Amino acid sequence: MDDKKELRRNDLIASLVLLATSIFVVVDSTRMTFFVKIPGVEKEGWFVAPGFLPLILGLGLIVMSLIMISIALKEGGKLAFPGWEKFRNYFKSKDELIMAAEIGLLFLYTFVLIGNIHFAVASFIYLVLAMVIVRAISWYKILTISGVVSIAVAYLFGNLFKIPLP
Amino acid sequence: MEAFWSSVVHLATSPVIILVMLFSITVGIIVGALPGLTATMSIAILVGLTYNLSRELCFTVIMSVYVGAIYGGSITAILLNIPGTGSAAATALDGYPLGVEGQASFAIGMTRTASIIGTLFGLVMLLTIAPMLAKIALLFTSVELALLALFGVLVSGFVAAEDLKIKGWIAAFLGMLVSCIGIDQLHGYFRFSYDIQMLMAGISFVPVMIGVFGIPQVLDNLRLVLPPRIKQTGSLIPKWKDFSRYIPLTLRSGLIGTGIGIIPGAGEDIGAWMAYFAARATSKEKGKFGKGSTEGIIAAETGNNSAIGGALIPLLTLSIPGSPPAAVLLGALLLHGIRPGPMLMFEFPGFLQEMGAIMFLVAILLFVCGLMVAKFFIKALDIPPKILMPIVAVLSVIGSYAINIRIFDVRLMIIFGIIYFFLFKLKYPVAPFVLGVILGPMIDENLRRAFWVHGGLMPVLTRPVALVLFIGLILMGASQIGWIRTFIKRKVLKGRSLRDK
Repeated sequence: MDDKKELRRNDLIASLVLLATSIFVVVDSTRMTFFVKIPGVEKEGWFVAPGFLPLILGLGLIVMSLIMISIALKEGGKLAFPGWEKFRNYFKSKDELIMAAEIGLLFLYTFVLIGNIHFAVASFIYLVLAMVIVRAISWYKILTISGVVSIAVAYLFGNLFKIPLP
Repeated sequence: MEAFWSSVVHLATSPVIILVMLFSITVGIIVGALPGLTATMSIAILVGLTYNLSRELCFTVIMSVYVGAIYGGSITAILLNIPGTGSAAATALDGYPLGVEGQASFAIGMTRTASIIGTLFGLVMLLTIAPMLAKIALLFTSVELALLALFGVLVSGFVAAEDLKIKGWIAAFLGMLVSCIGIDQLHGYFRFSYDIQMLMAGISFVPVMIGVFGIPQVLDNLRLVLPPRIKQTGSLIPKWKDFSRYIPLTLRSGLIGTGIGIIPGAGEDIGAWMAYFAARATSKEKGKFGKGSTEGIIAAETGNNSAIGGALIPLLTLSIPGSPPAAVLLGALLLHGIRPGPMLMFEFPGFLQEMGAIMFLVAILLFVCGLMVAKFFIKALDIPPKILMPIVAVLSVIGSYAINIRIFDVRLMIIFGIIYFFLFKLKYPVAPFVLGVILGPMIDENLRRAFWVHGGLMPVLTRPVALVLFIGLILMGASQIGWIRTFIKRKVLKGRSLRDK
């Protein structure tokens, strides 16, 4: 029951974000929804304009996010932002810290390393750090596996399959 | 059928094709068996990696991995109670108790045979129904295609949603919205680009697919702790007399699996569950279900493998993928210049038979590969997810980059992957989102073209098929509105009580 309430609380927050996004989409879509002359028809129509589908989707998302908000409120969801204690406990959890670190590492790999240094080196750094964070195996095995995999992948795809590497 | 058999002979006499098939099926089985690696994800990665291969070789690799992975999921389900793929979840219910009883090899042998028969059943249906469906499909114009695609995306949202149905539709709408980013194909207008050059070109569906399927699994599985392994006993080759008594069940499960596979977005997972439920409902040994029923594992495995052929029927004839892996396969077809749909038979004569021939050979070789590797590949399960998953992330990077040679796509893959990691926690299904991204342009272009040709919405709805689809969409939406549902329930109950009196 608590899990469901927690889910609905998160649903409520997600629905509010969705509602804001949908309103933005609708406003932006109206800019693209101009009237177009349709052959064989006297009046100009807006339903062939580029903004037609985004407008429909945006309006649909507004309706659905409102329904989601109502469901979440009905089923026990409350718009209560987590207190300092909960926030601190969240970051005390080892699992959550690992998740945060792995997500950060993925960003480091794709936004900083790739494109700036050789793909094999970037992949080696990522593999080493990703395995160290979760303490996968001993450090020398991590270094060996990461080295072998990054060189093998770079050679296999880059040289053998002739697939361009980032 | 002549074209089919000549394709079989052509492929079977090519040593390269056979070797590639053997290798790819083996990879597929291992991928399917490894918890966290799904058929959809591996095909999504392969779409990028096989981009430079010839058409024949590309689809040989993809179909081999597809069939192998759907079967492979059953092995970890039986040995570890961890379904390697979602489609093997029903197999775990009875497969694992059989494994605990020391009948793991028997169960693996039975599921392999069931998978082969299921695949062949789906293939027969594909070759017999697809040409007929294609003739009907020729009656479909822009508006019907647009409404059918929309219907497929929304049905997928309806079926795939685990929590609330509306979450499936939100995912589908978001997917379609993402597909709107970039240059509009009818007017050349830039939508949601904000003068960012990379966005002007649009968002490629391959990195999005790899991201939403791959990254959440990578992040989730980094914490996975595997239970202790179980020792296999008995023979991996089932005796004919053991299997023959289940042939009627196999055929019925094949029919259910194929039928479910045809429904857009439903896929192998639901095919397996439906076949399993039907087997349980009609079994004389209902009490055995959930405790180690052979009928249970055969029904589930036939159901999921026959759904492959089923999923290919709407994909090839109507351009509507029947399952998430088929949705990714649609991407591969488009990348190779093959536009599935009513004109496929005319634009690419023999392609359907070629795909059928690949499936046929893959089904035959699945027996050999499954047998050869069954004893040994379990060892691959010893690779801890903490080592395997970072490697999967590296492969995802290569797969998403290889399509357009843009680092932007790699970053997009990561962003979508992380967004969906959180949406996944909120139980937003991934399949409708991906279907929305893939089918969004088809819906947008065809709908507006139809309005352009017919001059408005009302003339469009004078077409019978379009009207039926439109009513279907309205009914699907209305069925989820609380007071309408209550009204229908009351009417039904009232009707029943009057009938009883």
